[in-house]
Amino acid sequence: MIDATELSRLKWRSRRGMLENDLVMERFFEQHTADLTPQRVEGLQVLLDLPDTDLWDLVAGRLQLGAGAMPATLEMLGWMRDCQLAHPR
Amino acid sequence: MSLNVRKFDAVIVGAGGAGMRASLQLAQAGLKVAVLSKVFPTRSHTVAAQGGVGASLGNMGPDSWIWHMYDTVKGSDWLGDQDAIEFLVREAPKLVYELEHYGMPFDRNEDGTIYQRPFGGHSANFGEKPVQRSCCAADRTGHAMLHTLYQQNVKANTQFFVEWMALDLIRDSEGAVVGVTALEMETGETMILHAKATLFATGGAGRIYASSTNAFINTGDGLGIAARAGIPLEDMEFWQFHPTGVAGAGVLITEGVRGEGGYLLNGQGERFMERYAPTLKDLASRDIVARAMATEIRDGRGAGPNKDHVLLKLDHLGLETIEKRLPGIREIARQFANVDPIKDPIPVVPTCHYQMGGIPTNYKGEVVVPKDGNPNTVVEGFYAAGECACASVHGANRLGTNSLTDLLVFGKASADSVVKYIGTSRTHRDLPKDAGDYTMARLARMDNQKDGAPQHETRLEMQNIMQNHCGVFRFPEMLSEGVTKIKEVAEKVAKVEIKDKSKVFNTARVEALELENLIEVARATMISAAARKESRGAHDRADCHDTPEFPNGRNDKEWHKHTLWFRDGDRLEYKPVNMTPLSAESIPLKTRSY
Ligand SMILES: Cc1cc2nc3c(=O)[nH]c(=O)nc-3n(C[C@H](O)[C@H](O)[C@H](O)COP(=O)(O)OP(=O)(O)OC[C@H]3O[C@@H](n4cnc5c(N)ncnc54)[C@H](O)[C@@H]3O)c2cc1C
Repeated sequence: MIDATELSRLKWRSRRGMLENDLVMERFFEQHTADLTPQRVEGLQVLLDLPDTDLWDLVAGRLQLGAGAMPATLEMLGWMRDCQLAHPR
Repeated sequence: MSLNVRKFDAVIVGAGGAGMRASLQLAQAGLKVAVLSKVFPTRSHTVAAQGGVGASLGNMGPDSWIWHMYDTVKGSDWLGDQDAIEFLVREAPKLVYELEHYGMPFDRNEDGTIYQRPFGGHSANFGEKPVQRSCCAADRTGHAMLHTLYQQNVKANTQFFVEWMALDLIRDSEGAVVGVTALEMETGETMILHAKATLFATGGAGRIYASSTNAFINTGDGLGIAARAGIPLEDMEFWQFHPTGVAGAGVLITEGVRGEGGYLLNGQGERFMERYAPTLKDLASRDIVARAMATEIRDGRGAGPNKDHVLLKLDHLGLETIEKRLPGIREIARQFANVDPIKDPIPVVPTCHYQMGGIPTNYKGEVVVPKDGNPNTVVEGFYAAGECACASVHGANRLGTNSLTDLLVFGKASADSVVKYIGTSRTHRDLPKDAGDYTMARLARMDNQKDGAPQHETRLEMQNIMQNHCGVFRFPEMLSEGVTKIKEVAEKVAKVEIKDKSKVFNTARVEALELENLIEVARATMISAAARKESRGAHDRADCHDTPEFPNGRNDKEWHKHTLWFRDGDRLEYKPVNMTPLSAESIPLKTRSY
């Protein structure tokens, strides 16, 4: 778990310009907040710093992370991709 | 008054396309400018625009601003102001070329000129044949535009205040705007930004609806702030809906799906479009499809446990067609509807997309209000541009690709007005003694509220009322019920309670403040819509049909006028539509048909 202020900041930075990413991140926090560690946050930050268009392409599988990506970044992208499917309507 | 004060020549609220085009102009003029944004500038909603920016460059065949003007007036169902529309279409090419010059990566023709795409409603020779007028950068036009403008602003040394939220307008005893109060999220401090000119570019308020294509950030802050400061909101009954957004999520499903042979089913498995449009069926125009969907749902023939959506079937197209011709659709359906469209239909509903109304301005981006018999008296020191403003170029419905044009043209024009107003010698007007009191009282109320309504549930309630009572197709009894209901929710919003009282990065507080803005827009929309007893453009009423006397349900004799909603007492006033262009001939009223 990370501290409450840090979590708030992270959630606000997950407010995106594209609805697709907003929805992905909303579900991400619903499902994974308790599992976040400082290392994972660092990995997540890399993704959140990307332009919205690239982030969505990554999540939708149209774009892949480069070979040098941090393991934590890869893990967080995996979570983003998966948590959508698990969310029933 | 104990709040810290910072002084600038101009304050711009909003760093999307409109805000950054304006700030560039001001920074280049050498003014001291603060640009506030809730999020990092390039994360503004402009980034989502894909279709392109409309300008009559004529790169693909003959085009002219007069034709662009005609298409815009017709699109607006004659509710757009023709002086502003002429200004828009004449300035458009200049602003597109300027972006090109700034390095925006437009798609190119072989001869090196900007490639232009076809788009619905764009025509040559006054509706005679389609013309290619949309300039784009692949499917990332908005993204490319924001990045280009951001880089130019960095070069021009624009000062950005990122993660700052404007809260209220400050007006002096004469009504002039002298700045804003704002919350710095990182510290939780509230401050006064004292300015000679204040420019709003806060974007749309699409989140008033349960189903919206808009990002979460589009909470209509500028509109709520203006309304609380006594500025009316114009033409708020007009919202553009897209027929197929994923139910419960809002993400757009392109019309291409129906173009490729996908079709709609109601909850009983019936292909209902055959009843509404026997020839064109699912390929009928956007309005007709959306209206049919709304009627099916209202009459209890929706699908799902709550019968609140219809189904878009495309499995019969086969995997290959879906993957090849409709890229991205499968991911969207899987991710946001939890269905795989090669097997199961996608649940869809008509979805709110764009706000035509807003803060009333003239074509110079100056905010105007009725005063002493003049419906368009300039409010000193106050300017607005982009989706939050109503110039009005979109009237009752927006022509596709005209909003990016709008934010460029009026972003620049409003900034030019600021430069002219400030000149070389204008000094700051004094801040009123109680400048920060209103804001501090609002914040204190929120912190001290006991037994109030929770933010999230209240917001959902508002969104559902708007969706059900004031959606794409409007039923008179639903509208009048909606007025009562939205006023009830407004009372709850006034008592919203937040549990988290912390100072630093308190997003619960920010969301409650956003809700206070959303509710003003929702009220304005519902009340303006219930009052307008005609169908025009995107305002489509079940009790105002197509008759020989009123083609398409439009009643020019009584309703060819702009609505102005005042927060105080939910009062409505009306003002005439400007039918006199700046230089062109007026485009006279005509029935709108495509
Ligand atoms: C999916 C989608 C696709 C679209 N495609 C097209 C298209 O192809 N062509 C076209 O012409 N139009 C399109 N549109 C419409 C167009 O994108 C928008 O109308 C336009 O981008 C709005 O720009 P803006 O600068 O007015 O506001 P935004 O880009 O929304 O920017 C608003 C800014 O205001 C800031 N802000 C808001 N409130 C506050 C506050 N209280 N304090 C501080 N800052 C604040 C935000 O942080 C942000 O920086 C599309 C819209 C959608 C939803």
